[in-house]
Amino acid sequence: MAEEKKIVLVVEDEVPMLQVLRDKLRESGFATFQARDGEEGLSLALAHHPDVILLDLLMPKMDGMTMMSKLRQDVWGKKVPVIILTNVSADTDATIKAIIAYQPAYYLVKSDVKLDGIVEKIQSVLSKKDK
Amino acid sequence: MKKNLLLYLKDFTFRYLALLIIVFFAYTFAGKLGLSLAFINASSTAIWPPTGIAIAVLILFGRKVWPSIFLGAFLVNVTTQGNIATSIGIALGNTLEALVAAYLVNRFAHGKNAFDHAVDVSKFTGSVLFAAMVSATIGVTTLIFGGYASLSNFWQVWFTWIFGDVGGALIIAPFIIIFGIHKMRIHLQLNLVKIAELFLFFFLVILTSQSIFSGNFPFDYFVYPILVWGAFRFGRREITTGVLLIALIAVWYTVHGTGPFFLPHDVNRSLLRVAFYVSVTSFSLLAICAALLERKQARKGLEVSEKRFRSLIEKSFDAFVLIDAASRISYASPSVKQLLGYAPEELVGTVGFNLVAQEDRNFTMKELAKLVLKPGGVITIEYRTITKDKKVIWVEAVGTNLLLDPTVAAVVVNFRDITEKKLSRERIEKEKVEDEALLKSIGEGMIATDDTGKITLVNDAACEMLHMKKSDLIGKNIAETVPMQDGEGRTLPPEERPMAKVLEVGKTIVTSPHNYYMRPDKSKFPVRFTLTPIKLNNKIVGTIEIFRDITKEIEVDKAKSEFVSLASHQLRTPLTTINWHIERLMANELGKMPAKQKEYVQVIYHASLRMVALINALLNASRLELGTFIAEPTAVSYESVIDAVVADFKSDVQRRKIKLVKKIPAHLAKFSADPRLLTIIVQNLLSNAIKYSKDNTEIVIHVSSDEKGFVLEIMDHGVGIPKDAQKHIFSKMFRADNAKEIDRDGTGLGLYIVKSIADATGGSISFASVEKKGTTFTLRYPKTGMQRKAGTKELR
Repeated sequence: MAEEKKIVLVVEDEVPMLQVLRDKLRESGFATFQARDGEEGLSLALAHHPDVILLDLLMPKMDGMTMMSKLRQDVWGKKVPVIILTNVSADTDATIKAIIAYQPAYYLVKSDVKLDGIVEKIQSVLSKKDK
Repeated sequence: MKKNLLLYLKDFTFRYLALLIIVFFAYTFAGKLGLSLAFINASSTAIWPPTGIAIAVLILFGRKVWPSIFLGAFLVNVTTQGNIATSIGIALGNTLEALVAAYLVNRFAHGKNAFDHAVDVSKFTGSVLFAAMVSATIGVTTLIFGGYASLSNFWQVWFTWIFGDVGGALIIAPFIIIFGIHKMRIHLQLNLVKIAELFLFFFLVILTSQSIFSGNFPFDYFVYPILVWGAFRFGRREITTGVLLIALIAVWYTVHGTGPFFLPHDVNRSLLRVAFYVSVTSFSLLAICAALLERKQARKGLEVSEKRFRSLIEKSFDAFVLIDAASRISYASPSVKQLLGYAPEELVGTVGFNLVAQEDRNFTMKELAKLVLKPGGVITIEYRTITKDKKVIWVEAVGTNLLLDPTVAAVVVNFRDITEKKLSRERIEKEKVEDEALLKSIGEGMIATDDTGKITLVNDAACEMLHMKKSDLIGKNIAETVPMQDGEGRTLPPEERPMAKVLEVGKTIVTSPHNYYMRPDKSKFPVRFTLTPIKLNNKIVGTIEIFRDITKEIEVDKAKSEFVSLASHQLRTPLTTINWHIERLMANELGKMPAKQKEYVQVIYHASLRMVALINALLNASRLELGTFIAEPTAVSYESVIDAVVADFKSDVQRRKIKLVKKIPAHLAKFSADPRLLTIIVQNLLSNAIKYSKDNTEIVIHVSSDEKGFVLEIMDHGVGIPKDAQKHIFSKMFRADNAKEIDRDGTGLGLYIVKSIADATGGSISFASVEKKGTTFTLRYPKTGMQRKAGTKELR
């Protein structure tokens, strides 16, 4: 019996990036949800309980850190692995404090990772979760 | 006993023996001579010179000569009387007498200086008289008991004994003592008048006494004017000699039956009268001489002190003038010449105010007028005065009103030049004003404290920044008055404030921007300050703190780093989109691209990745420049850092057939370093080494540790660095020509970043390179590893 597909929620405001990520993930065997801002991402996450969330930081309406803070208040959301995928370096005190507080699985800088690299990270997160 | 005897023998010097012998002979001779004049009793004579000798030698040489006296007296008596027991008794009496006399004189009349004061002359006479009574009592009693004298004429013998002794003592003893204490020196100054005068004196003494005692001239008191004249003109030696001569002549003539004191049929009483006469003469003249000496010495003392005082005034730098009631100068001391240029005689008789500068004349006149009304009053004033060569000088004058003092009858003014003092005082005032202006004008706050932290000085800027008044700060403890907080809002106790460290270490400290000063209204502002110890004779006596409100700087800094961070985000976003899409194109999942197409896409992808690397490098460089990157050393394994970096380069190395040789000791100690920073360094160095190596060569990565610390060497056999480029290689955006040929894509930031990190964390980077042979880069860190560095940004 075929294994049930793992669900990845991608929260990203840049449409081209969102699309290429979606394509890559589906090709790699994941089911995806897409959200264009933090608000949408939060409601989708709470509604569908994805296995992994790829989260951008700088977004309209609600930024990634705010969404994550709200997510962590939820019983399910407390434990869901989040991979931050952004082009902002983690160099302000606020960012570092947020990372410590919300415990994302990874903090990746988009320009420094390849698509394959992202897939690898998702798989490693999932494999850890399954154990 | 034995010991005492030895000491006694030790004292038996040759000189002592000689002294004993001389005294013995002198005493015996004088005794024989004296006893040849004994008419009442063979042992009691009206003239007894040995007593004088005995007292004189005991006073001059001390008690130790008593044996000579005893032996002499015994010999004289035993040869006269013939009875040993009696002679011993008399000798004992004589010795005792001399000892008692000498003791009393030493005790009460200043010993051998008895003839320096009239009072002591009297005491000497009294002592001698008392001793003679003792001697006479013992002696006469002995004679009576021995049967050599009868009780009926006890008093006569007793008196004869006393007068004989006192006469001898008063004439002989002063003569010997005075010659004894005056060093016998011959006056070689041939003062003919003085010598002639001396001869005249002795001639008159002899002539007069010869005339008196031969009976030709019955005025026995006539010797007095001559002796008194001698006492005034000469000294005590001449007088005692004269008196001795008179005594000898008097005795001679009286014994031979002439002279004013001769009583027919009673030679003894005659001699008693002579003895009395010469005793009185001697006593009187000694007293006169002593009085004259006292006067002379008093005058001499007075002269010395006057001379001293005069030279003090004349040589003093202070000038003295006396001003009379009409304000005329009646005396001016010689030092006015140095001070004013006028000779004293030029000033005497002139009006004192002529010397005072015009502008000070009124006020000095008023002051003097006030002083004149106050007898004994003293004033001190400063004014300008004009010297002879028309120079204006400042003087300080002390005036004392002694107009009513009959010996002075003037206002005494002493004054000194204070021009220098006045000028330097003005200079100091000026400097002080300048310093104050300087402190006022600087924008930085300044607080000076003593070594306990008590504030001694603040400037206006400090008050303004702290919102406090000077009076709120000065004299208070800085830790209590100006609380300091760290970055976390914790108020620092005094021992944690930078001042404690400065006082302890004695070196200047410049603080990082993590301190805040609190104002009384609880608002605060970030400060950066320089704290410098004040040293006096190598001892720290306080601190000076210069501080600045750096709120603005921090804001600018923040804005700048926010801009950099945002700009890099904005630049990365389109590049990410490009990269990811190219990755998709090249992944063959959408169908295979023709080879040529694939090659073009490959070029685009490469260029885009370069762009990403450039942005990352720029971001790091900007953080380095701001000095805001963080270094948080933890114990890391050098080898694992190197292995991680090497893994990243695996494909490049394999492609170029470069052999990487790791030389790392098996048990290398853990290195205290920030792993990210160490990775950046190794990455840059190794990337350069690979980039500039020739294919099929070797790169050696060598880590070692020694006493000094950790050393990393990365040696390649590449193109090397041209000589003229070597000094620029750590500069930002510099690339050597041969490097550009090989890799046109380099950012020129790699070595700049390496050096910046090494410098900021206590390490050092150096290299050795030969063009076309290769390069070795050497990174050194001390044993303690990287320094911790607080900052706001991580490097990635």
